[in-house]
Parts: sequence; C-alpha cells; structure tokens
Amino acid sequence: MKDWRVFLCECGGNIGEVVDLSRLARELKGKELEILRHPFLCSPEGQDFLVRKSRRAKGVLVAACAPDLHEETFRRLLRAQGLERFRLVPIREEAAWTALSDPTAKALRLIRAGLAALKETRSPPAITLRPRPALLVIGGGAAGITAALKASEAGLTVYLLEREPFLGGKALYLDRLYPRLECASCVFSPRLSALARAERVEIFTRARLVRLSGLPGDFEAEIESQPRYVRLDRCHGCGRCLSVCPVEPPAIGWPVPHPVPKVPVINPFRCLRFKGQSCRKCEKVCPRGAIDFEDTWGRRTLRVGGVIVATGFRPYAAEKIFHYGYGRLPRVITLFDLEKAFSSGEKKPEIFKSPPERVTFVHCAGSRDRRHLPYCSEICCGLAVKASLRLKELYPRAEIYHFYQDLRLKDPEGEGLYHRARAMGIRFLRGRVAEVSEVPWSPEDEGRLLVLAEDTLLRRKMRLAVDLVVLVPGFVPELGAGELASLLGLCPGEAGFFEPRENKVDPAGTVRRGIWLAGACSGPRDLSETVASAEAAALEAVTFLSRPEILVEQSRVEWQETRCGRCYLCVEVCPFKALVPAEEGLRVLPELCSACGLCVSACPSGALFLEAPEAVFFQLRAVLG
Amino acid sequence: MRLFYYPGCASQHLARDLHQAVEALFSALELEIAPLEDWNCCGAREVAAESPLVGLLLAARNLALVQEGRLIVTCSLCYHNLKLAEKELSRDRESLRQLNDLLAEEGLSYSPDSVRVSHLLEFLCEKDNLSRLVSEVKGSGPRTPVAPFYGCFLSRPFGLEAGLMEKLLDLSGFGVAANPLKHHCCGGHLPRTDSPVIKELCGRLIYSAGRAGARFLGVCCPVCRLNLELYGPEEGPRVLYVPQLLGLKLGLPPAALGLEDGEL
Repeated sequence: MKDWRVFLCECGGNIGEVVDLSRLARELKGKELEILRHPFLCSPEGQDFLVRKSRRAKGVLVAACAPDLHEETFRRLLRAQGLERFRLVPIREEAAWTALSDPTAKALRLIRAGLAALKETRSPPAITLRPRPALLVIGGGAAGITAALKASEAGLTVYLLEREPFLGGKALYLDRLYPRLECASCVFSPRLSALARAERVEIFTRARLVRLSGLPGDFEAEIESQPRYVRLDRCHGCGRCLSVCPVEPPAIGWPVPHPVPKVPVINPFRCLRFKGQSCRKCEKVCPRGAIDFEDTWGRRTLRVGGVIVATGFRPYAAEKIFHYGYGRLPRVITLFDLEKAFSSGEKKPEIFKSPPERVTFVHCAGSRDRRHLPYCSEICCGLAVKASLRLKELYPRAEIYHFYQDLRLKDPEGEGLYHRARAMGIRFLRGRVAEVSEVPWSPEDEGRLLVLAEDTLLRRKMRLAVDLVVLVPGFVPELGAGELASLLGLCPGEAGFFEPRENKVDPAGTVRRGIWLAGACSGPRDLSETVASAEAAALEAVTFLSRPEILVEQSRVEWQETRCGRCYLCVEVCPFKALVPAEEGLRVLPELCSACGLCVSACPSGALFLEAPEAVFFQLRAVLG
Repeated sequence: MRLFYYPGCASQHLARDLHQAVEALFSALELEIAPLEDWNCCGAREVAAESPLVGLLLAARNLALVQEGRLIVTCSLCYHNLKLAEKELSRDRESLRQLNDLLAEEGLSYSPDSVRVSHLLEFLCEKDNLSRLVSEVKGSGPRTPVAPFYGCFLSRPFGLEAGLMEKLLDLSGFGVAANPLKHHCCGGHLPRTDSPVIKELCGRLIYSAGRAGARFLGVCCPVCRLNLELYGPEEGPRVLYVPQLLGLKLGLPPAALGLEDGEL
C-alpha cells in the first residue's frame, strides 16, 4: 500500500518548464510512495485532485509554491478529511526560480528533505485561545486615530499610544489637501474630536512601547510614559494656566493647532519651578487642581489581543544635501516648513517678511539619488504643486518655478491641478537643481539666492536669482521605527519602512500574526491612502479579535527534571516569559511559548528540548546527504 | 621614512614660483625632502585620450622611483593622477603586473604597499610639521583675511580631509574668510576650447572671495591660479599659492617665494 503521497505541481510552466518533473518522479519512486502530478494544484480542479488522491494516505507532501500562498489552502483540505501530516516544499521559489545550475537536482533534494521531515513530524500540539477584545495602536497620527476609531466602533477596547504630548501627527500641520485644495483641518479635526468622545478608547500621550510578549490574541504590552505635569483626568481645558505663566513663551501650553487631548503640557526645561524657583502660578490658578509637579515617569502593563503599528513617516533631513544649503542659508526652507507656516494660520508668516518676487521649488531633494534616498516617495510632487498654488494665491505677483524630474500627480484630479497651476503662471522646468548658493552669478543680484539648474527639455542652463527656495524632500520612516521593528519582530525593507506580509493581497498583515500595519509606516502615503490603509488594518484586527476562539499551533519545550541544575538561566533568557520557577523546578507556560529555542541553547546541562528541531535534523540530513 | 617631493611639469614653466615657494618652505621648516630624481610627467589630462594603462604607467614610474617612502605633491592634477594610480594599482593586480613588466626594462618595480602619495596640505597638517610651522611663524602682524580655494581635484574623487587649508592659514597668522565656493571648478582646461564659460566661473569665484572680505585667495594648483588670474576680474582679491602665503608669515623674502616686487 502506498501510504505516502507526493504531489508535484507544474504551476503552469513556472515549475514544469524548468524542473524535469518526469525525472523527479522517476528518482523519487519507492515502495511506499505514490507520485502524482498536476498542472495547477491550486485550481478548483487541482484541489479536487488533491482531495481525491490523498484518501487513506498517512501523509502528504506537496511540492509547489511558497507556503505563504497556498499552505493554508492545502492544509485545510487535508485536515477536513482527517489528515494532519502534511508538508509543503516550495520548489517553485527555491528551485525553479532561483537554482542556477541544476534546478531538478535541487528540487529533488528539497523534496527528499521534506519527506524525511514529514515522516518524522508529529503534528504540533495546538491550543485554542479566546482572543482578548483589546487592541493596542502605536502612533496617534492620522492612521492611528482612524484605526482606533474604527476598532472602537466595532466594539474593541483600544489603547492608543502617542509619543508626542498631543495626537494628530503630521496631519496637524497640513494646510490644504491634495488635489482639491480643501481645508485640511476642516476634514481632519472632526476625526480628532470623534476620538476624544469615543468610548472604549484610552489615550496614552508621551508614551512608548518597551516590551511586547505573549501570543497573538493575548499579548502583554509594557508601556512607558513621560510625565506631563498636568493630570489628564482632572484638567478640563480652560486654558487659564497659559495666561499666567511668567515665562515668554509660556512654559505650559498646547503648541499645536488642534490639541487633543486638550490638556496642556509643561516643558520642564523652561518652567521656573524646575529651575529651583518657587513659581506656582499655574497651580494656583487652576480651578481643578490638575497641575502636578510631582508627576513622574510611569510604566503600565496592558493585555491586548493585537497590535496595530501606525508610526508613520517623516521628511528626509534636507540638511544632509549640503549643496542645497538647508539650515545654512536662511531663505532655503523645506515644503514642510512652508506647510507649517501656512497652517499656523498667520497671514504673513515669519519667512515672508517681504513678499518674495521669485520662488523656486526643488523637487526630489535627495530623492532618486543613490547618496540619499534611492527611491521616489510618490506623494511629494502633488504636495509641492498644491503648496505653490497657495503661495500664488498669497502673492499673485510672485514668479514660481518648479524644477522636477517627473511630475507624479496621482488621481484624475492631479492633472487638473497641474493645468490650473500652469494657467496661473507657475512654471515647470524638468531638471535637477545643481546648486543653491548665496554667491550670485552677477554682482547686481547680491542679496538673493542663486539657483543653478539645467532645463533638460530645452537643453539650456538656468541661473535664477530667487528670494525663496522650497526644497521638497522625500520621506523616510519615523524615528524609532528600527527599534520598534526589533521589539515587535517586524521586517523593515531596504528603506526602513515596514514590509507587509504581501504587498498586494495582504498589505495590512505582517510576518507576525496579530500585528498589523496602518498608514505611512510601510511606505510614503498621503492622507487618503493612509486612512484607507488604517481602515484595512482595523478590519483585520476586528476580524481576528472578534473570533470566539483561535487555534494556535506551537511546539512546546520539554523539561527533564533529572538533568536540570536549577540555574534558571532559561528563565532569564526567555523573551516571552514562558518559563517560570516552580515548586517542582520549572514550569513551561505553553500559551506564552513561541518555540524560539533560546532556552534550549542557553541550558548548560541540556535539560530542555524542543520537539520541532527533531524534524529539522532529519530534513538537514536529507539535504546535506 | 624617506620623503620625496614631486614638482610636476608646471614647476618648470608656468608655476616656477610655486616650486620656489615649496622649496623655500621646506628649507625654512628644516624638512629634509629631496625632489624626486628623474621624475616624469604625471600624465596630466591629455593622457586621458589614450588607453588608461598609459596614464597609469606614467604615474607608476614616478611611484616606482620612490621605491619606498612618501611622495609629496603640490599640484592638484598631479595629486589626482598619482593617487588614482595608487588606488587603481592596489586593487587591480593584473594591471600592476603588466606595468611592472614594462618598468622592469628600466630596472624599476612598483609595489603599492610601500609608497604613499600625500598632498602638501596633508603633509603640513601632520602633528610634527604643524608644530614646526607654528614655532617658525615670525611676528604677529595683522590677520590678513585669506579665502581658501581647493578646486576640483582636491575635493573629488580623492577629497582631502576637510579644513586643512583653513587650519594652516589660521595657525600661520592669517584670518580665514569663509568661502562657500571653495570646492567649485575654476574652469580647468576650458581655455583651450575658447569657451566663454570660464570667465563667468572665475569671475564668480573671485567675487565670492571678495564678498567674504578676503584680500587673498589661497590656491594650491597651477591651473586654478592661471585661470583665476587670466579670467578673473581685474579688481578683487589677489590669487596666491598657499606655500607663498605661509612663506611670507615665516619671514621669507618675497623674492625667495617667487613673488615679484610690488606684487603684494
């Protein structure tokens, strides 16, 4: 009786044309082994084939594509007929697409290894878990707020973590929105207010995550918060304290356009009280007794079922592009300085003391440049065109030039915006700016900035004397994204943005179950894309956390009492707190163990074992021959 | 450590004054640096038209003459070509073998590990030489503002460490005028193509030094000086070689530095 079955999928021609499947079948042929072949095992017809042909088998090996794609499909089919022993060997990715010399030989070895592992594997014990209907959202910008709102509407308890004293992130400093030029705060501030009213949302400001342990469905998150010196539970936002502060500008305040929570924060580096003086003016005037100079750093542990990461992005540091002079030359600013100046609501911001006669927008400052950002951030062109229109509204007589490489204006309306800008006299020149300098080309332009560039369409050199240079840098992940990635075990891509599990069909998922991505932490996104992706992440979280129970497969650590020397090194190294000292010696908490194996390698007396590696050893032996 | 000085072709005609100033500077600082015997052209720019090996051979012959030790260069272009040969040949063992076969006809051989090429600025900024220079500075006259100018080949691709010229000028008693265009191009060999561009380039460089309040523009490269003098405006800061400027502060007579009377 042929108890073991191997299914070879041709994957159209992907595998079939590269790997010699007949040779594979010949070489694998054995007494207990039946080899079956199908052009598309994932098709409905192929799935039927798999079910039909795997009846009464002891175990099934499928040689096809990466486990990320169809492992779940096949496992479910087989499990439905009571077959637990199943293994998937990705000969498409690991042999057909990548092997340089002899893909068939490589596929053969991989399948042999898979078979060795299959025969030795016991199916890992699975535990069922009731997911906690609570969600941690890291980052209180547009993405975090949207995800928190959606998840709380669906009935989850949400803990929203924000590093800054106020929510809103970069969206707070937007003035108008691309491409329709509607007022940003009119669109965005209702969301902030909705969040302030929302039930089951607890907001932690000036806080960060320091540890995450446990399993998907039941994480334990430790957060650390910086003191605010004003109590969130007492303050009602009257703002009387702001006017009595003797320091100029006040050491207590809400220095953002839409403070949520509307509770001021004290800057201890300016406050007289923290400089050893006895000033208590704000404390005395506060009708609610909310000022608390004794506030300290705090830690709190939260139990949540899942985590949404919404840490966002930040503009590239334009100071690094030395020849553009940002930070060195006073009238070189970035698009974000300009946007901030617009959104501060002042009619004539500081940078426009005198109306500029000529303004240059330098697109792709640092972008698509191997020394800075080797990629295109996609959204900055639109932001720059939008800002230049606003500038033209303010100063109709100003000449405005855009130096661009490619104008990437998304949405059907983007093109309209471009034509509108052209009609208003804004000029677009294709070419990279070579230099921004305070030394003019000819002495009569002394006092203005010189912009050297090439118009690559007209093949003409351009030397412009200008009054304001607006650099348009690309985007990089927000500070601390790297630390968070190592804390959560996420994969940052080459540019440092978090990689989703699958870019197209699973953009919110990550390699870790129970952790999702929202917004611009996985790549530059504008507000509409951010909101859409945050809603997607919230939907994933809600679906996952509102299941009555989830099945968590895991291999457990086994402890041998007779070998153990009670040194408890294992307890010390376990990052998941799955090992605890106990009366009998050591107790393993299977619901926390993630089978990482750190304790096994740390144990000096070899008293700990992992079940899974046994199969790995058989596999290695077969591969290495 | 054996030290040699590579004068370069320009020292024989165009930049005789630079050559004089460097020699005077070395003797004033009591540095025992012999000019390299039997040196040849570094390849300059013209050689770029030939196969790369020709240029490397010219440079490698000079390096082979050193045998072991350091070669100190003043001219920017010589520095670039010698440095290029040093970098290329320490990487490309096959070319090195070919060149060594050719050099063997003369009884020479070059090994990249035993010869180091340094620019004069780098050399003078080393601890011992710098303290020697500082102790030899005569008097404490007015701190005449000088704008540093490096030009292309001291900035890229084998850029010197930042701020060497500034350090030397400052410690020898000059004021340093901030020159934002110190790494810009002087026009290089554009005069040969009769391009109108060079006048604008040089004019802007002199203007930049002038607006920073400089009386002199300190350069190291004969071509930079030639271009700036010929194509720069009549008024504005004078262009002098850095070794000349340093020599003045060491109390050397202007004639010994290749400066004509009344040039200051």
